[in-house]
Amino acid sequence: MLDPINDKLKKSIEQQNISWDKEAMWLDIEPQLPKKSNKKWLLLLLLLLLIGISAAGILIYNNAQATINRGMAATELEQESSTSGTIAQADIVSTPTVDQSNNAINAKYQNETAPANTNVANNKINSNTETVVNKTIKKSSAYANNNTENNTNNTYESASVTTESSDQVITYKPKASTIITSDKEPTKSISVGNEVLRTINDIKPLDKSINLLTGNKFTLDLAADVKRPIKTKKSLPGAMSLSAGAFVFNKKYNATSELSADLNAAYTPLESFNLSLAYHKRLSTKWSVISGVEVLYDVERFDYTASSSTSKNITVDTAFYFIENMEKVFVAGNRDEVTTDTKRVRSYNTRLSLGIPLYVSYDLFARRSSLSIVGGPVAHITALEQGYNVENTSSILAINTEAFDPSTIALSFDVSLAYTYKFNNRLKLAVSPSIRRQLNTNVDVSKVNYKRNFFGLKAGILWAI
Amino acid sequence: MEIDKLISQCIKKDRKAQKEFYLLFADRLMNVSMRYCHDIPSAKDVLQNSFVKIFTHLDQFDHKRGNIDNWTVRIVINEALQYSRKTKRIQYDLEDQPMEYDEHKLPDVISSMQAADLMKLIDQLPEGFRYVFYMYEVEGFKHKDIAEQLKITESTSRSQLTRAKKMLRNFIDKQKSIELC
Repeated sequence: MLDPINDKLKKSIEQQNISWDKEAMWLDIEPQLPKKSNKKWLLLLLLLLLIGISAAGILIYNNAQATINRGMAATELEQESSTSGTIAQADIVSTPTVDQSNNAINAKYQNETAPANTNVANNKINSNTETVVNKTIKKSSAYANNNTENNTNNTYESASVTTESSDQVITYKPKASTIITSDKEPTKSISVGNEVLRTINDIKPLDKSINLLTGNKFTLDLAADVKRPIKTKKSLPGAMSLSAGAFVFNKKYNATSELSADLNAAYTPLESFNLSLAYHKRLSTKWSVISGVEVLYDVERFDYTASSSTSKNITVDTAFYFIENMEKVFVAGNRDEVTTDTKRVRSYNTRLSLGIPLYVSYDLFARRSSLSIVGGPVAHITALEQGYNVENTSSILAINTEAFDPSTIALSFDVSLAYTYKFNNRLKLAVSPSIRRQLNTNVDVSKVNYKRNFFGLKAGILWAI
Repeated sequence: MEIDKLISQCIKKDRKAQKEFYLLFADRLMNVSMRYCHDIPSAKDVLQNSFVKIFTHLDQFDHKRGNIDNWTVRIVINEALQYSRKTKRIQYDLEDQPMEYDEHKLPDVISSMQAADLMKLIDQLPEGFRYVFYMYEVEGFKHKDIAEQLKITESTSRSQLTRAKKMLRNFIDKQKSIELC
């Protein structure tokens, strides 16, 4: 049997005092220890920045769009043909009504949220004349769906609701809603008080693709990215990339007073479709230079209201006006009647241009994700330019859309923050908000407050070979 | 600061916590290192490398499988073993043939010896014997653990310990006879 040394001795061996310089050793150890990585924080910061830029862009876009809608809706009130400044009231329905087939009962609809598909016995409808109608009203499924979807938003669809009963049809209209309708195209609006809830735009876009882009604040960029490693002398990888995509830049013009008579509102999202062939030269594991050629097809959209006035001499039997002493005088004779017609016009400028970018990219990798800050100048040479006006009526004022042409040779500076998620060695998903600053322009800035800054959001699926 | 909290801070590469951890364990681990190395410079080298490994692999420490003391001691011993192999100090074969346990008990005089005196005698043991002796008698490892650490069989570990004790008894007897003369 082994004889262990006793605990006292063991303890004294363990606690033997050796004098040595602990601090000196720590100074030797410390440099060899792995440093605290700040990459996560940096990535988080960049991700937050990306989200912030995206949110700001969306806010800017929404605010601008809301302003346009309000402006358009206000213009609709003036859209009626008027004589001597009088606005026709015939089409403005301000009192909600309940119509019955034989008996017209003006009633206030007081139960907008009544349960659907139920029989309501002894439903009381308080009419303007204090009449109580005892009727069993069976609400139709159409109403049920409509009301369920829209009662909170109070949109145009729920403005008029039809219910059926055995012997009568009742049409409800929401309480406290002022419904403004117009027989004239192109715009119909619905509003509560001064707030425009929805503007229905009847102007047809150029094509479906443009409709898709203008109708969505986010544009999905289905980009194809083909990268082929190229051996370089320094064994640092280079790559060729072929990418195609579409993105939206929101560019806003503010008309100055000189143009405001014709141009009440102008707002131009710039949609750009691009196809680029670029060479990526990796300088290090994090830095790379990107250059090549981009073919860009830009679409600028202009929304504005245009006014036309026609004057004709008519014979008026009687007219009245006030004279200085406030005495009413009736006169008869000829007078000019001026008719003002205001229309909403949408114009498109399309532009085909060749861009030569020179970007520098800084990439940070974290497992499957990477964040890249890409920036640099881009020279654009416009090759082909065309303008379109789109309207529904023939009485449109011709405004030269080319008045807003940007430079034929433009230089801009792009900065983008790209987040890429790598599904595998080939498939990547990328989101890239971008800011573009146009450095020069041929726009007449005395007439138009030209905005040089663009905001873009690009998202794409990358497929590398 | 509680040791678990200190460890978690060290895993997060908090320099302040790492230094606190270092100061907490430095003396004890220096003693361990000294037991397996012949001199202070070697012990310091071993300890320095050990702390770098400790901080680098601290996230792999599983408190369910053992306490932090044993884990750090194992690292130091392992580092000392590697150091010895590098400097080719181990001049005997740890895979020595196992021998039967005999009645070589340590003499009673060992209980009355000072730690320093005993360590001087232990230092005279061959490297392998010394490792097994210290790991079993002082660190409290089982033969299974020693075998795993030194990459030998358990029976070899047992026989090395027996031989170490026999040799140690001879040293003590020899010293006693010198003193009597």
